[in-house]
Amino acid sequence: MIKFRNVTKYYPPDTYAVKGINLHIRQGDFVSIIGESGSGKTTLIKLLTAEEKISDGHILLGGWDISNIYNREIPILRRQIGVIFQDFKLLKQKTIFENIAFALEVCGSPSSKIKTIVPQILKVVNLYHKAERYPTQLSGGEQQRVAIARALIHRPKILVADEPTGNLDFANTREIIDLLKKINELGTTVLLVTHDREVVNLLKKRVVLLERGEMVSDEKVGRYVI
Amino acid sequence: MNYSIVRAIKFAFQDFWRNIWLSLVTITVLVLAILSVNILVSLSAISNKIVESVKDKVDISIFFKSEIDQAQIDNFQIKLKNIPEVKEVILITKEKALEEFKQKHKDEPKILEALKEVEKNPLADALVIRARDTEDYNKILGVLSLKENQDLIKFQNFTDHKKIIDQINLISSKIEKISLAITLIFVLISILIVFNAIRVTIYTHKDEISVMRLVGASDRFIRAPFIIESVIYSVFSIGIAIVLLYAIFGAIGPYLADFLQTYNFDLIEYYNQNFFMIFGAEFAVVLLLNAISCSIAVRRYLRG
Repeated sequence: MIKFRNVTKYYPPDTYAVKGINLHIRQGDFVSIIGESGSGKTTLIKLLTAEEKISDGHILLGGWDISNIYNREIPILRRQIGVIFQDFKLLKQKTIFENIAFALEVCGSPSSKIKTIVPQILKVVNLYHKAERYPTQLSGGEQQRVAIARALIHRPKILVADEPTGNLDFANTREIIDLLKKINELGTTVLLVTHDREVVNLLKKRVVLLERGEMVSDEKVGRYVI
Repeated sequence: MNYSIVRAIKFAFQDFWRNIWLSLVTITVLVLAILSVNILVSLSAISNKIVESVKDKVDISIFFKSEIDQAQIDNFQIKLKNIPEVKEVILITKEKALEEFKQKHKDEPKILEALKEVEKNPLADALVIRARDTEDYNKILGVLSLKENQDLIKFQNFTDHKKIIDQINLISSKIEKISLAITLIFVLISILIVFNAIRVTIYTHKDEISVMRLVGASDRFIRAPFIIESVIYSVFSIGIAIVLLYAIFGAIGPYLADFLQTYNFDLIEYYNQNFFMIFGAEFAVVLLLNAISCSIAVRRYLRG
């Protein structure tokens, strides 16, 4: 599904954000990428979503080598990878329905499709009854569920979650992790970037540990060991 | 694709209304820039008209000796017409000249009585010569001064407006230079303000742009609403400038007519005749300026 082959990201004059990463993620995997701040977790995700260009090596998505992706192909790539962040990135002036619909609107989906799909996805994240509310009227956990709904709207094969529970309390964190597990059980590959010990230990899934840009371990059922 | 175009237009109008004050400021700046350019256009049109009118009044009149017959006059007229610098040669027979003289002095009985007492037509046959350019008169005067020609001519009269033309040319060229400098300064300030206004507009949408990129919107789609918005700015600013200009021309028309008196120049008529050329060019420049500002400003948020 996703293959990182000797992936390096280098910033002149002498900084390596990630160095020689070799990683194979199969379809349906749930992988937690852990490490301290500055270990290269977020850089790895940015390379996967083509927000940053690879200095050396290759990233293969299916059979597609995205190492030297053209700018015009980036939107196609991003529709195949749903991404959620710690700060949700919701538009405050739009309702929950509009926030999710926006992701379809800007990609040219017909209105009839939007009217059908958005309520379905809102039901999946259990926010159908709050469709007309604004993000500021929701709790942190609910806002993250909206972000997940938006990330899933293009039915991506991969969901990347970059510190999704960083702003949440324990109850909301559990809620989000349960939702990610549910999404994973339905066949979506999930890449979770976190340094939340509780979350990783609770999941009992594959754990990749990064240190100073290098991969130091890859455990099938790992624990947070830093 | 159709959905994208319709949505880009919808987003553009939404942005325009949501940031109505910013939109109004941008349009005001553009209107002021367009007005200043049109002041230059108007001044240039007026000075050109004055120069052309004065140039039209320059001519050489030659009066033949009484013993010269019609055949000699005709030959001389043909000879003059063959000079490349000569634009036209008009024959005024002494009969026609007398008629015009009588008409001109019809309310002055003393002059008419004096004319009756002379009995014979005292006026001479004449040719009025006009050159293609005011610079050509010297050459024509040179031809006329040849002895064979002077034998036919009783006297000649060259109404030399060259000094006036030179002065008008000098003044209009100075006016043009000053106006051009003022306009350039204004256009430069306008470019900066418009560029900044569009940047602020786009800055207020940076979150939306970031979400659009996140969910896989193409760069073209992200740019489109801003480009369309700049078209809206251009249409509104040109429209408002046209209305204001015609209102100003209507208001200053009588004063301008009074000032220009015999030149018979109407700014509204001039603009009507050149409407599409003047405003078409101005619209194209404003649109280009907006589109470039917009592209540069959006590009910053599309990197990565």
